[in-house]
Amino acid sequence: MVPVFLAQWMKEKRSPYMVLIFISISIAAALLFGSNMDIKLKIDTFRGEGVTVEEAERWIDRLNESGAFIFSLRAEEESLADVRQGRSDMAVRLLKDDYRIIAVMESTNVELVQQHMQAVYHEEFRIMAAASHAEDELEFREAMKTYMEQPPLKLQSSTSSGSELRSYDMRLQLLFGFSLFLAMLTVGFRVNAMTAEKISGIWNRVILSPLTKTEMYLGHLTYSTLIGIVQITMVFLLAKYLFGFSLGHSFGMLAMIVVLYTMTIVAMSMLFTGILRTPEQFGAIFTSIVPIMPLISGAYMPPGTITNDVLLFIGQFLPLQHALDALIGVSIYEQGWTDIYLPLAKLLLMAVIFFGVGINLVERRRL
Amino acid sequence: MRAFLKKDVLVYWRDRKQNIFSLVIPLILIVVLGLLLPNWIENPTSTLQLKAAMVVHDNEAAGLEQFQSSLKSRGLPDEEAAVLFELAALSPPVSLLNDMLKSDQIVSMVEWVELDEEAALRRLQSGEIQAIVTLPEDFTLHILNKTLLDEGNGAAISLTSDDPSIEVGVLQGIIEGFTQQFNASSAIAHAGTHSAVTLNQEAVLPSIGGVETIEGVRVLTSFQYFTLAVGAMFAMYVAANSANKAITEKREHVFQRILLSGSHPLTYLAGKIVATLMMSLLQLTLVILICHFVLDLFPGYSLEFWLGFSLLMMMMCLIVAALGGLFTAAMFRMNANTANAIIQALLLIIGVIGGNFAPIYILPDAVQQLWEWTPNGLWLSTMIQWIQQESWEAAINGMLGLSAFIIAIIALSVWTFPKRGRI
Repeated sequence: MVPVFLAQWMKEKRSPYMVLIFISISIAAALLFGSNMDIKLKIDTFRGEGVTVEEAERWIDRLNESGAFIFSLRAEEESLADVRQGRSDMAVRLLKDDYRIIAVMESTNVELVQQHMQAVYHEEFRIMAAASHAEDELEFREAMKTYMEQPPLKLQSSTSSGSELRSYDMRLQLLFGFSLFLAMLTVGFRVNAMTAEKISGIWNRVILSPLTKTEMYLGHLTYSTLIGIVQITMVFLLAKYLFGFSLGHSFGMLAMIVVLYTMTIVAMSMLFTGILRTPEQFGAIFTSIVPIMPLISGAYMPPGTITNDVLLFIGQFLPLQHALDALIGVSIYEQGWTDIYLPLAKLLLMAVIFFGVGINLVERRRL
Repeated sequence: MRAFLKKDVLVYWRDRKQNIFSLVIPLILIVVLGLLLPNWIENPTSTLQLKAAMVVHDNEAAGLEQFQSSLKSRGLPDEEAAVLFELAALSPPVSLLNDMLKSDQIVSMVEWVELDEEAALRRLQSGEIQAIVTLPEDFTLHILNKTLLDEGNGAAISLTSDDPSIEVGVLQGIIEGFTQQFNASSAIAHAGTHSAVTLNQEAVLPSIGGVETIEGVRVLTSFQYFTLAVGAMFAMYVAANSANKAITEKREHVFQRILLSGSHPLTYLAGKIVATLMMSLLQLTLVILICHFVLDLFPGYSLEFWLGFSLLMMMMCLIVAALGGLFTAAMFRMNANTANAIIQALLLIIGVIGGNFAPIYILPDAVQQLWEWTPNGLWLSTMIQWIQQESWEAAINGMLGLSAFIIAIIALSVWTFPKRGRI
C-alpha cells in the first residue's frame, strides 16, 4: 500500500499544478465571498423632472438609513445604460415625492426595493404632513429627532443564555459549498488517474508484483482522500485565520465531517469510473455533472429556497447535501454530535454503497 | 482536412452515450432552475416555517386601568384625562402588536404557541420552538406613559432565540419594522403636541411608486436568461469534451501517425475545430428549441428576431469551436491532468464572471467590469440586448467584438499547437 501511495505522491510532486489550481480557485472564492458578499446591494438612482439635487440627496439619505440597499445618485444616461445592458437589474427614478423603479429583467430584488422604498416614503410623508401643520418645521423635526433617540418601543434580541443573537451567515454557507464542490473536482481527477494507469498498463505491471489488489486500491484511494482533505482543510484554515470567518466551536467535528465527506467523494468517483469506460469519458461527464450538485443541494441559495419534492429527494443522494448540513449545523447552529450523527451516518452509508458497487463494476470490466 | 473532420465526427458518433449525457444535463439544469425560480422570485420567504412562543407578562386591561387611575391621581382636568384615556383605549400597543403578529401574512409563516416563560425556555432549548417573543410586565402602562405623557423610558419587546437562522432573521425584521413604525407615529404625535396640533392628525397617504420599463425595451424573463446562460455554459463544456477526446489520440499516437502521412498538423486542428462547431451547434440548438417549446420562451417574436438570434447562436458556437481548438492545443502541450485542471478552472472563472452561473449584478463591482471582457459575457450581454431591443446596431457591435475574440482564440491555438518536428 505504501509504495503505491508514494508513487502517487511522487507524480503529484513532479506536476502539482492540478491540485494547486483547484486550491487557488477555492481560495479565490473564499476571498470573493469573504470580502464582498456582506456589502449591501447597490441601487442607482437618478433625478426625474423638476427634482433638485438637494431633494434627491435628502431622499437618498433617508433611504440609506436602514434596509439592505445602498442608493446612490448617478446621471440618468449612465444608470439607464447599465439597466439596458443587463449590468444592473434596476434603477430608480426619483420624482417629486414619488419614484419609479425601472427594470427590464425579472428579479427578486425589485419587490424588496419596492417594499423598502414604500415604507420609507410613507413614513416621510406622514412626518411632512404633520410638520406642515406645525408652526416651526425645523423645531418639529428637531423635536422628533430627540424623541426618536429615546423611543417608547424597543426590540431586544438575544439568545437564551443572554448573548447576542447572530444572523444567518450566508457567506459561510457559500464558502463551505464552494470548497466542497472544488474538492470533488480534485478528488475526481485523482481517482481518474487510477483508470489512466490501467489503460497505460502500469496497473497490470503492479498486479504482477507481490502487492495484493486490496493494497493497490488502498494506496490509490487513501492518496485521493488525503489530497481532498488537505485541500479543504487549507481553505478552512485560511478562511478562519486570514479572513476571520467564525467556523464554530469545534474544529475537531469539522475535521471529522471533512474526512467522511472526502471518503464519500472518493467512493462516488469510484462509482463513476465503474460506470464510464475511459478516463476521457470520465473527464467529460464527471466535470459536467459535478457543477450541478451544489445547485440541487441548494448550496448557493439561502436555506428553505428549494421546496420541490423531487429536488429534495434527489438531494438526499448527493454527499454534498449531507456534508453541508453537518458543517452548517456545527459552525452556525453550534450543534453537537447527537445532532449531526444522522448526516454523518448517511455519508458513511453512501461511501460503503458507492465503494461496493464501484469497485465491483471496475473489477468486472476488461480493459 | 475533410478526412480529419470525418474522423472527429465518427469519434463523436461512436460515443453516443456521452453525447446524450451532455445534451440531457443542461436540460435537467434548466428544469431544476425552472422549478426553483418561480418560488424564489415571487415569494422568497413563502417557504419559511417557524414555530415561536409568545410569552405575555403584561395584562392589557389592568395596564389600561392603571393608566386611567394614574391620570386621575395626576390631577389633570377631567376633560383632558378623558381624551387621553380614549386615545389609549383606541389602540393599545399590545393589541396593535397582536394584530400585526397574528395577521394572515405572518401566520402563514409563524406558528404561535402561548406559553409561560419556563415552559417556553424549556421548549426552546429542546428545539421544539425556534424563538420566544416576550412582552415584559407593565408593558402597556410603560408604553402609554411614554407615548401619551412622555414619562419613563417606554418598554422593550424581547426576542429570544438560539438559532441564527433565516427564519428568525425574518421574524426579527418584522418586529423591527413594527417598532420603527410605532415609534415614528408616536414621535410625530409627540412633536405635534408641542406645536399644538391635535393628535389624530392622520395624513392621507398618496399612492406612489411602481415599476416601469424603458420604452421599446422588452422585459427579459428569468427563464430566457437562464436558458441562454446555462445553454452557453454547457456549449463551452463541449469544447472541453473535444479536448478530452484528443487525450486518447495523444495516447495512441494518432497525431504522430497523421504527421507521418504527410498532412500538415494544422489540418488536424482544423478538423477538431469544425467538429466542435458542429457538436456545439447541435447541442445549443436542441437545448434552446426544447426549452422554447416546453417553456414557451419567445412567444410571438418576429422573423427578424429569429434571424438575429440565429446569427448570435452561430457566434457562440464559433467561440466554442475556437475554445475547442485552444483546449486541444493545451492537451498536446502539457500533461493531461494539468491541462484538464486549467480548462476546468478557466471555464469556472469565465462562467462566473460571464454571468452563466448567476446574474452578473450580484457580483462585486470590480468583477462586473470584466463582464464584457469574457467571450461568453460579451455574448450574453449582446444576446440580452437583442432580446430586449432588437437593435441591429448593438447586435453588430457585439458581433464585431465576438469576432475579435474568435480570431484571437484561434490565433492563440494555432500558435500554441505543436509544429511539425516538435512532437
